[in-house]
Amino acid sequence: MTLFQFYFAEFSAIYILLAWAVYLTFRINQLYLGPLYSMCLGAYFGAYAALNWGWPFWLIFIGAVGLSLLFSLIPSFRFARLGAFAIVIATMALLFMVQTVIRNWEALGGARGLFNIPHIPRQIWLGVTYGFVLIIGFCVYRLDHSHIGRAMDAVHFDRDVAATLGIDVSRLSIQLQLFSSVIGGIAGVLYVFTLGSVFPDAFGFFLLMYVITIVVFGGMYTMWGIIIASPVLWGVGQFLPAGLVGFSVIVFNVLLIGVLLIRPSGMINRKSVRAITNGCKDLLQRFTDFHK
Amino acid sequence: MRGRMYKTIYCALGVLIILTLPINGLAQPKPVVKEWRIPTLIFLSGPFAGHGVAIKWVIEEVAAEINASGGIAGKPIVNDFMDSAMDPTKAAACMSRAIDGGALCVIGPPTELECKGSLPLAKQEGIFAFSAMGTETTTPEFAPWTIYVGRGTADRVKATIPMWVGVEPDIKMVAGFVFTVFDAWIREWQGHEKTAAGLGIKSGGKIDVSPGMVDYGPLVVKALNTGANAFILITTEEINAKLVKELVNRGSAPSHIWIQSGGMGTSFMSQTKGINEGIYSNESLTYEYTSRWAKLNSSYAKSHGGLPLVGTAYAFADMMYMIKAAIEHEAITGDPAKLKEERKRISDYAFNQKGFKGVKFTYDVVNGVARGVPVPLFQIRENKGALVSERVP
Amino acid sequence: MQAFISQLICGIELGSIYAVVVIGYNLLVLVTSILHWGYAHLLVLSMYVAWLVFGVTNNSLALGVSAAIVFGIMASTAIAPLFLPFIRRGAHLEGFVISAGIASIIVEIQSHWINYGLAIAFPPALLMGDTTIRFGMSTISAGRLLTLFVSIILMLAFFYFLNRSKQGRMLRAVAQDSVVARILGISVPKMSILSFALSGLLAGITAICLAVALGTAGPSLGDQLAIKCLSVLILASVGNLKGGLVCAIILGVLDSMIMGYLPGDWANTSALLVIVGVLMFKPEGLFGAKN
Repeated sequence: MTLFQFYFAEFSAIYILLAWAVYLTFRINQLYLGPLYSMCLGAYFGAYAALNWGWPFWLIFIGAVGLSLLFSLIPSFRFARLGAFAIVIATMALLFMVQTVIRNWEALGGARGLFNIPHIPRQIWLGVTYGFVLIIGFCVYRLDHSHIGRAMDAVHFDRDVAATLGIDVSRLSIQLQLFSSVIGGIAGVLYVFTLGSVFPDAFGFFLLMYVITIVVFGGMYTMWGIIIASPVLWGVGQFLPAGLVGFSVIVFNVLLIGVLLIRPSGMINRKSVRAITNGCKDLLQRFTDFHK
Repeated sequence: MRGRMYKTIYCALGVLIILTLPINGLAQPKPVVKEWRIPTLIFLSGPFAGHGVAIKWVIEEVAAEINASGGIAGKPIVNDFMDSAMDPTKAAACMSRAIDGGALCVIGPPTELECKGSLPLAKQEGIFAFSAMGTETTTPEFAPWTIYVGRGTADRVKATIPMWVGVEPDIKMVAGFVFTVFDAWIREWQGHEKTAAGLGIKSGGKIDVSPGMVDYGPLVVKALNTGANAFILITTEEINAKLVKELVNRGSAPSHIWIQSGGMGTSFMSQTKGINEGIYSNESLTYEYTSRWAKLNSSYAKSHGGLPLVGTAYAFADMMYMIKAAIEHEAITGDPAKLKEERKRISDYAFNQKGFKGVKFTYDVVNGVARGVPVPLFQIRENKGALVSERVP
Repeated sequence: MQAFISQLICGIELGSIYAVVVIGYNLLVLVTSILHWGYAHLLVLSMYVAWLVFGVTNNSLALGVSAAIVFGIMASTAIAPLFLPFIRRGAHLEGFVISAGIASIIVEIQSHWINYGLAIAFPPALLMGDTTIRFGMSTISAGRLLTLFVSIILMLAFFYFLNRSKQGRMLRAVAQDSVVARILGISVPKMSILSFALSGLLAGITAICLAVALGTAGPSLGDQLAIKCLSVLILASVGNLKGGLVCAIILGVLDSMIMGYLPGDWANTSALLVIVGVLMFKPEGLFGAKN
């Protein structure tokens, strides 16, 4: 496996996780960017714990999850009532606040950041990363296909109607935000051990827009589109011919606009998921019938 | 039962094929035989692409010059440009591609953000990154795999205020506008403050400047309110232009403003035309440091409507010449079997050098940092920077 | 005390810049329910067009102003069809992402092909740049006063247009309920394109105001304006014209006071935190109606 394949796989995975986190709360009409500041917290915690306390990475994951839960609990109580775009501003504010605090805190490296984070052998790390992708993907899948998923659909359709049906919208919102933040924290730890360094300006506005783009491009009503969207969008900049180097942003955005115009609900929507699964079932049936 | 077994087998096969698809056919290391292919990481997209493109121009110009006079050890040099887009993750991905491709060394990345993202990998794999300007305070973290050839902050803070006060003796209190994103710039202000204190000049304090504001009037009012009558500006070009406009509009004398080289450029000069007469700086876009630099500058101006080169471009010209010197001096063969060893030899050569004749200055490199670069004091006269005095550390 | 007054004046000037940009956002959001992130970028591109025309026509004010306005209208109308499918389906987030894509493309055009990616500076003689009233530390520049004046005029003009003219009433009908509007025979796509064209006109006028008020423009100006205006919109309650103007001034003064009295690093953050604080108690915005 080449180095580039490793980084490609790693960053695709990290962005898939972040996109799933945003996707979850988006299903109830909240564009919650808590995963981003949780990512920042998780990354810094991972770096600090590894450098100063020598913690093994499994313990760091547990710590990052705890930290994300801690920092998202109280805001989520008030965020439950906010509208879609207001939450963006609120979580953006928290993100900038975390950045500013870190920038002024010398023990965390200040504006410089933390470096020389212990290196973990690539095969193991890739295994760990995709292990998390599978586990979290499984959880998101089960959530989507459970009564909670149906409740999310109801809230997405109409918040008040859902409330009359007995769905506790606030509680649902809080639970999803917390889960979302936990995913962000895990993504942060994955990020810091992949890159080997962490600094406050890595988690800025650009990351925010990029994650939203992946969710919308992949398809906002199903979790599967994100799996394809993440490597495709990340890959646009890396696989351009030599003459177009420097135009990656233009190509990226033209692709984005083009796909959204052709398929307004994203690359993969629920109809396509159903069509693909039915198609695969048919195909398999034909093969096995042929062999009988 | 049989049906299910076949279903499972085909499923597994399908998944395996899909998973291995990306792995087939990606970059395999190519032996460097006929030419020196040097991956060059620069930001070529985003709002600051103009600067990146200017740096690319310089590198291509120097490459043409080197190739015209016989190349490096008889073979031409070719730069493989990669867009690091001021994004640490993209920079890391570009670095990984460069390493996979069997590169002997890389040029760049040019900014701190990109360096922090990609140099841990360079250090891990043992490849030298001629990053020129991106690692002033972080060079020790990535030693010995990176180099910083910008003007030394330590030298600058010792020499600047004494020279400035020497020509503007009525400076009584100095305040500093500091862009808070770069650690090096924060430390620079602290150094200036200390030097000033040593000369009995009071400090009005540091005024933090964050990016992203449309207007900086309130910060200027804050600075004026401290009672300072002289100002040091250590921010980016665009912010400097806004600050200077506000300062001059509110009564500050331009000769009591000093601009650090990072914020002095074509953009600044054009935005402050008419009000920048008398401002001091340690950079001048038009000063003829050497005839080589003058030649590059005039060549750029000819094809770019008279604009001078960005101030940091010289460092990348230096990187190209350093690579030439390293390959020739160390008799690098480019043999893939000796890749690891030759990468180390390039690093050993570049990390400590004596008397390197750069495009603008001649300097030593000590543990990856340039030493002995003179500290000049320029003053803007008729929209051009004129040399007032100079200190060689 | 003198510093406080200076900061206040700075704040009002800053607020007037936000106010004049926010009107365009509000108009689009009112009619199409789409937060058009790229509006500020289109505005900055119009500034670039004016600058190019100034350069070619030896600083002819009339030609530069008309070029900016014509370009604004044409560009905005040309982009409008891209949004129609999303307006029809009420797909706000997808519309927002498309507008962000357009914004990025505009930034790339500016940073690659105009003035070699460098910031542009407007000829000072052309602008009222040098006319400043100065007392002590404070300055009031004619350019900024003009901006404030223009933003109030534009707001009043749009109020009048929306309330008194036939087209305006049709726009408001679509804004209130597009289904009923369609039943009544109002063509929603036509109204949407009209609103884009109007916002283009606004962009052109605002471009000139900002050229006078700021004197320079760069590829990153679009993003800076867009973030600030998003904050203003959320604070005010998206779509509220009057609220937008008032909250723009409030945010301008807030930014100014924070920059002036708190450690600078906290400037961006503090402003946002104040907004978050307001939203905690009034989630629908300062001027919003409870749902």
